[in-house]
Amino acid sequence: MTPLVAAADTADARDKGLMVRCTDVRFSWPGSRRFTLDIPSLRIARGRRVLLLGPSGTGKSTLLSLLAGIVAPDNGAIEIAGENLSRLSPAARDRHRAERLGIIFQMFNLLPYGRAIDNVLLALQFAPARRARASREGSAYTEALRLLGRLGIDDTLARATSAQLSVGQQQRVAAARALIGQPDVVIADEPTSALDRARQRDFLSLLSDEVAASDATLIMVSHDETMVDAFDEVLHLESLIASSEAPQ
Amino acid sequence: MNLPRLALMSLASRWPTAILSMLAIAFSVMLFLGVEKVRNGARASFADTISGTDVIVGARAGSVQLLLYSVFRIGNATNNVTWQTYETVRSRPEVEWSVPLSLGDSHRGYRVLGTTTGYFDHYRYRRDRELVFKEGTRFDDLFDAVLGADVAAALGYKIGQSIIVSHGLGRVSFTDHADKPFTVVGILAKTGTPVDRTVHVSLEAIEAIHADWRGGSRDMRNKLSAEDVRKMDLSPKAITAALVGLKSRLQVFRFRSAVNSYREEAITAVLPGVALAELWELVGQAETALAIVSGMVILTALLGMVTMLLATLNERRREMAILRSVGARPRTVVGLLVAEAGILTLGGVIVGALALYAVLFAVRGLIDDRFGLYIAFSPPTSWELWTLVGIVAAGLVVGLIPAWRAYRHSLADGMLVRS
Repeated sequence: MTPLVAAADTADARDKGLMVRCTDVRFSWPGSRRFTLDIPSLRIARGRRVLLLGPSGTGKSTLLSLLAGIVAPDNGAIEIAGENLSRLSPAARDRHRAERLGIIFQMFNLLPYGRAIDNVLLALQFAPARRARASREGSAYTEALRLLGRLGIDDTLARATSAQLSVGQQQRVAAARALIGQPDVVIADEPTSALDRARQRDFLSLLSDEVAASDATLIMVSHDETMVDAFDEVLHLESLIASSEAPQ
Repeated sequence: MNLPRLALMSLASRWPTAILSMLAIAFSVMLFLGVEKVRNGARASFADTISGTDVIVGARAGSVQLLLYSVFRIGNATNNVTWQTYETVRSRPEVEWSVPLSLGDSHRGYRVLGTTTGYFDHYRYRRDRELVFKEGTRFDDLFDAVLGADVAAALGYKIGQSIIVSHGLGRVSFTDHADKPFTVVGILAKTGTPVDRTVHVSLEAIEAIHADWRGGSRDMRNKLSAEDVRKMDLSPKAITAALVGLKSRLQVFRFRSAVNSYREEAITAVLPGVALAELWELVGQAETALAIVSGMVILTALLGMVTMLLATLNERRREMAILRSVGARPRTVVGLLVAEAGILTLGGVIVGALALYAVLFAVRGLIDDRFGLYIAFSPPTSWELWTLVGIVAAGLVVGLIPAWRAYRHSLADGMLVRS
């Protein structure tokens, strides 16, 4: 009996370090008759920088939507930072996303009418606890400026509208928005696809440093295998998926 | 950034289309409020055509008909009232003053009114305003004439000018009283009432120009010159109607009853206010039509705004996805679109109302002078205010259409929007 308990304790202890756990997740988009995603198991530990690799059309963005709680799986469980998203109401999922997750899109990442600083502070709009964390050492505004500064966006650029920024600068602002208030997980959906190689490296380096500084878990999807060196772990999406047809 | 600020910034980023939508709403609100102001002004002007007169007495007919021909100079009397009957009526103890009116002739399409100088003392319009002479004075001589403001302006008449009265009411007449010309001795200031379109002469003058007329045509064998008639007894034999002021308004019903039951002649007494109300009911359909047109214009402007919001929705899917990514609930996305619609509508209502008052301030004097339509520079009535609130509410409601589509997009897109 004792070894079994010990084994269970060990597994439990290991699971406590998990930031993402997907079990038997199945999902198909409404209106789509064909089955789309079937992920028997996906586990990502806290603080890891994980690259999810897969060619276009394998359901990478759909998986990110599931992890973000923007859509809910048809079956199975998704736990993010210890919270089973399947058990949360849609409103609670939105709150959870606001408080615990930072998201970087592929491109056109900023509200076009907002200044860079406004776009960063937008992440705190629906997340009071995250706002409190961001304001711990001053105001959220100061923290946003600090983060932008670390990512190479000076105060002048911080007050510029997104239309006045280059694509690379916009991606850094988006990274600052994802990182402000120390979220548990940063999800990035091919954030470097619009950048050239040199800028890709710079951006990934900055992002990695900041994610490490805030002890967040980074999950990034891409079809570009040249950036595997920048990550602790590389997962091939095809290996996670039991079946995938007509993916989104 | 809170939701209204987000909505404002979003609109500011699309300012050309946003301003056009807001202007469309502003113009429709201007039209609505303008129509309301003109409608109220017209109603007030209509009601203000006569005031201070307690009763109008005339040959027995419908009250609206009596009001129309005696006050508005529209249509004709079914019959005349004999001078003897008029004397009986005006000698009643309730009567404080009375003004006889005799209609039937015209000058180049304008009615000629035979009356007494008491007309200039007792006729009141627009809440107790008296008739004022712009030039000259009252008629004194037998062939003096006082012109209403529109008559003088339209025909270019001045004091001292000679005019000829025609028999009957046609704009073109073949039976002029050319041998008995009148001299213009006075021109009245603009009143915005039918007085402006009237030529006023004495009752005796009406008798004088018809002294040699028998059975509706001139007696060619017994022609009388102007000098001849001056020597005659020109006491009136009949009048068309009479305006009557009573010593006390409490006596109105007793007086009316006495007149209506007068046995010697079929006459009637009508209360101007009651007759005006009846008349307004008849023309009320036009008001309804105006209100419907205003409503349709507002609806069109609101639909234009919705079209603008819907047209930009597709290119804003990324914006919605960003908001969802930072934890905005689908209903927040709905709120953003509804807030945008609300801001546009509220802005349109405010701009429209301010613009209308600015225009009103600038041109209401001109409107009064040109059309005799007095438009009060008053704050919006409670009905107008509630309608404006209703327009904003309608803007919010129609804003639900693009909001619903944005909601559907935000649920369906997840993080998949690529452009």
